[in-house]
Amino acid sequence: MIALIDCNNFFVSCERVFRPDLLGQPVIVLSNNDGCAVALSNEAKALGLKRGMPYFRIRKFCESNNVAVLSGNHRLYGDISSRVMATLESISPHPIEIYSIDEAFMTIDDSTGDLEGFGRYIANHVMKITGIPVSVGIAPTKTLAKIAARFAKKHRGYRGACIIDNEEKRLKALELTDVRDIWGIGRRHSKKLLERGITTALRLASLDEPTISRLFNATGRHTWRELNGIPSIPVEESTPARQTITASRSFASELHSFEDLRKAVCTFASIIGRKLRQQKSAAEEVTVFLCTNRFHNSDPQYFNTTSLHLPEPTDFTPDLAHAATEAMRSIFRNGFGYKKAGVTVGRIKTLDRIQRSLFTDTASEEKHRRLMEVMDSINKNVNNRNRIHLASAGNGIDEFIRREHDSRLYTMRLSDIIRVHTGPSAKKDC
Amino acid sequence: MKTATGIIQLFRSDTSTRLELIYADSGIRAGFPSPAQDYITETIDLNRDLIQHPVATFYGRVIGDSMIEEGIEEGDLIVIDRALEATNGDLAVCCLDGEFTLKRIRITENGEIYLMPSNRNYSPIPVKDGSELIIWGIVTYTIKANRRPR
Repeated sequence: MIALIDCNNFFVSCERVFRPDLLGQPVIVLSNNDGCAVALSNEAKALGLKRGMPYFRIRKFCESNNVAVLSGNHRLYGDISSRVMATLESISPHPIEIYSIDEAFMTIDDSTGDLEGFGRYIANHVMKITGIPVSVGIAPTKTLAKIAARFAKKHRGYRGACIIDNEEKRLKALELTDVRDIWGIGRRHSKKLLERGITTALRLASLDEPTISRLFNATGRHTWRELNGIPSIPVEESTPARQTITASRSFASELHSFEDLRKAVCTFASIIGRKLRQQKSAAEEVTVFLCTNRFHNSDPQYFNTTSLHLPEPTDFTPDLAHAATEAMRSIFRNGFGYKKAGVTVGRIKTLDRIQRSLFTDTASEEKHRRLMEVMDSINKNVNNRNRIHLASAGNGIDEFIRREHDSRLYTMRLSDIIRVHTGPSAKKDC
Repeated sequence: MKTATGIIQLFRSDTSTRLELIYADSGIRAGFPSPAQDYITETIDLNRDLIQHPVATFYGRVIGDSMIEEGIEEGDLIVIDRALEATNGDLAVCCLDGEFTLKRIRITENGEIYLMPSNRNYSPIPVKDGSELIIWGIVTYTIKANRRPR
């Protein structure tokens, strides 16, 4: 059997661990730069707020309905995520698959007698150790475990864990699941299915194999088999090194000049360089994108992206920044207000797999490696990732982004830890 | 193989076993080596020695004076372990009225629970049936800066 463990309203839950005053209150967490709502508490959802709503449209509503609004604090969420994953790892019989920041798959031995009991134990234990509420779905396949977890999340009666372990439960669950909510069925496929009157997971599962082969590629066929209880997507016990790394932000106010955008893409290149070096790999391709503010319909709109192939894979920040600048130069147009930009690197190889070309200057390469080592060690402190940086990157991220509703790094910075009161009625401060 | 003196027998080297040798951290010198060399890697690491459950450990800063009689003062740093089960007499961080509060837990023989201050100016807080008491974590250590400015 396979369990999916999914954190409930993860970003909101992370904030609530350290802000007991937010328990039971409507809360939203905003995306970078306070752009739009990316996480909502159940109370906020009940008010009609939805994921993806731009903040400037709901600001008034939040104020008049006492919705707590927080700027996303992704370093905190990353730390809490790693605590949740470590907790799961400690009670799992096999290595877990970390599927996303707030989801993991766990293989459960067939000898486990009381699946419901084990599911609830997982939920209670993660809550106890980390303070994060989770929903657990247990089923014979990953796709069904995803469906089970949805039920556990939606209905309190499951007390944290929903199990699909017989034919009756499977059919019932499929009947109640909208085809658009199936893991692995994208928007394009669900549209195709809805046009054919296939509205529920049960109807999809009941199609015969030739029909499925006509409608879907291999991934879709796997999903169909998994809905029918045949495991087809294995639990990946070791997460492969990432194939692409992206750094992107939307800016507090639009950028117009080449020079400003150059600072931004050089900053992104620096972030990516650090991540590459962390996972001991190097990238061979640099992609840059730029776009204008799509919420300002009256302004001229422009979006463009381009990729640059590097002569050799690199993790050297100045090389990455140079490539990003050149790519940006080829798509930059004057006369637009740019709201967002980003850099992605691809064709990532681990350092031990890199083929050296005939012209590799190994002496200067060694110098570069040592320079980056020094830079990374100076920037190791989470409080100041930008202590030493490229001149071309300006003052780093903080120059462009806005965070009006900042929350604290409760687990990572001593000045930000929780305040614990000992007086009888202290003022609200934590 | 023939040599002037006779026959030399050749052996294949056996690499199937390993012998780990201690790396000489202090460099190699002629003369008597430092007798401390073998122990050099052993250090006191408070993270390792005091933190039993790193994943469940959080830190907090003390505000207020209700625990003053047991020496817990405003500004002290507390180490909080969420993995421990609360027992009678534990120092605990509790959530009360939407804020964190630091108290000793007292469980009487007939099962009543009190949150006990350590300051005679404050009274114990009874936890009534039906009211929600969330024990956020158990305080394992109090760290005090003895040279803080006064």
